[in-house]
Amino acid sequence: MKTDNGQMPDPVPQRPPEKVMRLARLGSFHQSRLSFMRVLLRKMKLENWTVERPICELDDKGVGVVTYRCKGPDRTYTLIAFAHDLPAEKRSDRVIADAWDATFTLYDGEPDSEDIERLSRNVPLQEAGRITETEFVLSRANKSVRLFDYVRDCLARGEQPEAEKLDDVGYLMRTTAVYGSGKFGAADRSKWAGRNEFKGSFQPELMAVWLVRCFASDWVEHMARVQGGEKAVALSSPLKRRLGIGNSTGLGMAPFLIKHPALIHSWINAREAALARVRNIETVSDEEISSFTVLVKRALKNAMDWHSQSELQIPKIKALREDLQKLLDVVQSDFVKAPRPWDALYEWSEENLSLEGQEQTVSLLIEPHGSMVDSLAESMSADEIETFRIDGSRTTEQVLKSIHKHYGWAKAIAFDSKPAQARVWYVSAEKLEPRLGERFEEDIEAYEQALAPARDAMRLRFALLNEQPDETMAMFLLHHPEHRHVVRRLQVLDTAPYGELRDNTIDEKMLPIDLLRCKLSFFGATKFDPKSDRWVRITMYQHAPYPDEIEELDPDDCFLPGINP
Amino acid sequence: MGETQDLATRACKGAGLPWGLAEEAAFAVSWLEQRDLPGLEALAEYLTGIGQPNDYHAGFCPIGNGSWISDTGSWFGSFPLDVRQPLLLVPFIAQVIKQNSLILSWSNNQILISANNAEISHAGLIVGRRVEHCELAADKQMTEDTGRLDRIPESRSEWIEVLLEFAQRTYAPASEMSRLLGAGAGINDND
Repeated sequence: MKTDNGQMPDPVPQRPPEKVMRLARLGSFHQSRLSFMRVLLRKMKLENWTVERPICELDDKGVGVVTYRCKGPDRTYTLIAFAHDLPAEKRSDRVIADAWDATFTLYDGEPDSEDIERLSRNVPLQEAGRITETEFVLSRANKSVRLFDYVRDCLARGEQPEAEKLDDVGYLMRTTAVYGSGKFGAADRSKWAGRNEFKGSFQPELMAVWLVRCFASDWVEHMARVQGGEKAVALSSPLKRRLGIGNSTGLGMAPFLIKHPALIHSWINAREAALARVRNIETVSDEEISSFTVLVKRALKNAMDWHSQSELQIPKIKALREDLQKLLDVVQSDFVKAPRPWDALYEWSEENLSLEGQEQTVSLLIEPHGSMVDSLAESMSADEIETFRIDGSRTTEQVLKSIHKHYGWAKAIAFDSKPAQARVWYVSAEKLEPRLGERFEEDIEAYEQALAPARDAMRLRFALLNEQPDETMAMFLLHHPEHRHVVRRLQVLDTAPYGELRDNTIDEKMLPIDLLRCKLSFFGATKFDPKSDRWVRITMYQHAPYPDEIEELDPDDCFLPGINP
Repeated sequence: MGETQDLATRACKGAGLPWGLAEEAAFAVSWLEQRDLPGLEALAEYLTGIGQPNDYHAGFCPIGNGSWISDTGSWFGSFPLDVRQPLLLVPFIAQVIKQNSLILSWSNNQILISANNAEISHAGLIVGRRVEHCELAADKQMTEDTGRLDRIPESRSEWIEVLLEFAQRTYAPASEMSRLLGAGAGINDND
């Protein structure tokens, strides 16, 4: 395990995987300055990226094409937006929809008219079309009809919309899928992975989403001009910033965290290394305390603005609000007198706050320490080819030790009981959508995906207990190829210990939204609003600068709402 | 995971290979396709030819034999070898080559393999459904890697169709219950 050894004696270590990698904790993660949206905007500001809109051809129904050209020091990317006139009855956020209000692709370079013509025949079809290796992202979005129409009507009358109504929804449009590398013909990750601007994870996808947000406000302003003519006004910048881009995410994203252990390790390890660095700071000045106090107040404001109808989320938000109030009181007391004050504060949070509150505290502790932690963002990716090949010389004894290290906790689970294997991860033939089924109620076990690593590790363990301790994996796997994927996974985990969830992914009580929340927090999403235990609405880039503001505003100062609006 | 790997993994699983071997097959196909060698075709022919699921246990499986070479880090003792679709062995041999290059040969075919590359040095039919008798012998140093291309080339569509059919077997047929338990089912998601 890569730890982050400071210079001081007995440094505070990183939190161990057995503490961090529990689903309930991962399902309480918040965005931080290591989140990928923030990494992207920080880099774009630092490198003076510019965004222009070379094509804006929209008719009176709002149908047409708009392009956003994004120019950096080495390369140019273009978001091509196709705006459609969607009948209300066709508007659905589910991945199985087949028409949308607007569809998008991120093009590598500057498209010519032939490119746009080709893409106009494919991008609106989404999964049913085919893009090429000059395209990096395929996406689509639907309007929040309620807010879009309200904002359009206000602007058309020459008035600004009410801030409260904007906050109520938080976005004009929401994406229902953002497909990246290698999907539907798009360029494979290997084409751009070496590019400086895309270091880290999901940078092309999040560049596209940031530009989609820009399109949403341009589109509503266009429709207001059509409706109101000369009376129409543009949306004021401060109001516009209150609007992010919404997103609906379902089960499709959940298996990702299980399928990519090396990558997940790199994300979690960076965040844990950042926390450990901060906890090891010896002294804290009064100035630092007062700016931290402001951050806590802003986080409290954010929690107050966070609404959900979800029975799962309502008590968590309530606890978070109480937690942040408690945190505010403690920060303003004399905790600074403790040695390593940030560490003392973290320890206090573990004893006194809910998991939501603890993980919000982690993000807040990291927040003021950019110079100390921002470089960790570059480590947040993984070469999965490097760790692919199995070392067949490893012995039964060594592998059993590795199972004990990463799955010791799973020995207590009775995997032959119904509750412990109640679920089956499978892919439906209907729309190739990952689903979670009931093993004992549906006829689906034959289609089970390899997404129950703890159960599979226990199966391997029982098989190995019958082997000689010095039997090699090469020989064992020759006769037991059914365990091969688990042996490979264990080998990855030996160098990537944060790569494994310390929970049973097929348990009857497992909540898929915990997986979604963890991944989306690393993207930088806020306002998690679960609509069931398996899909969630979020907001992306709320309060962030728009392309024309990135020069004057500090994007890192924009991810929490201001306290004096 | 690239599109090629994803398709190959699902197709192998659909044909009855266990997950871990399906992953190895996906690695092999993707390695070959990146070097413009017909990996998708070889896999499609292999899966079509094996007939019964579990046929990969029979000993003629290039994936199983390739995995053994990869796991042990050596090709010594594995050849001569009777195997279907010998082309699929190539990436595994390339993985364990350290310095010198090797020639894999069967009937009219010869493939020159180095640590990073493979070249067909004799034109001929390299993809068939028979079990082939293969030899592996040492040869001179080879040139550098020619680059990576992790995508499904359009011209491979015939083989993609075959693999998609195998992959289809891993998808559960839709039922009313699965629709009800799906991600956003039954909830009005518009506002």
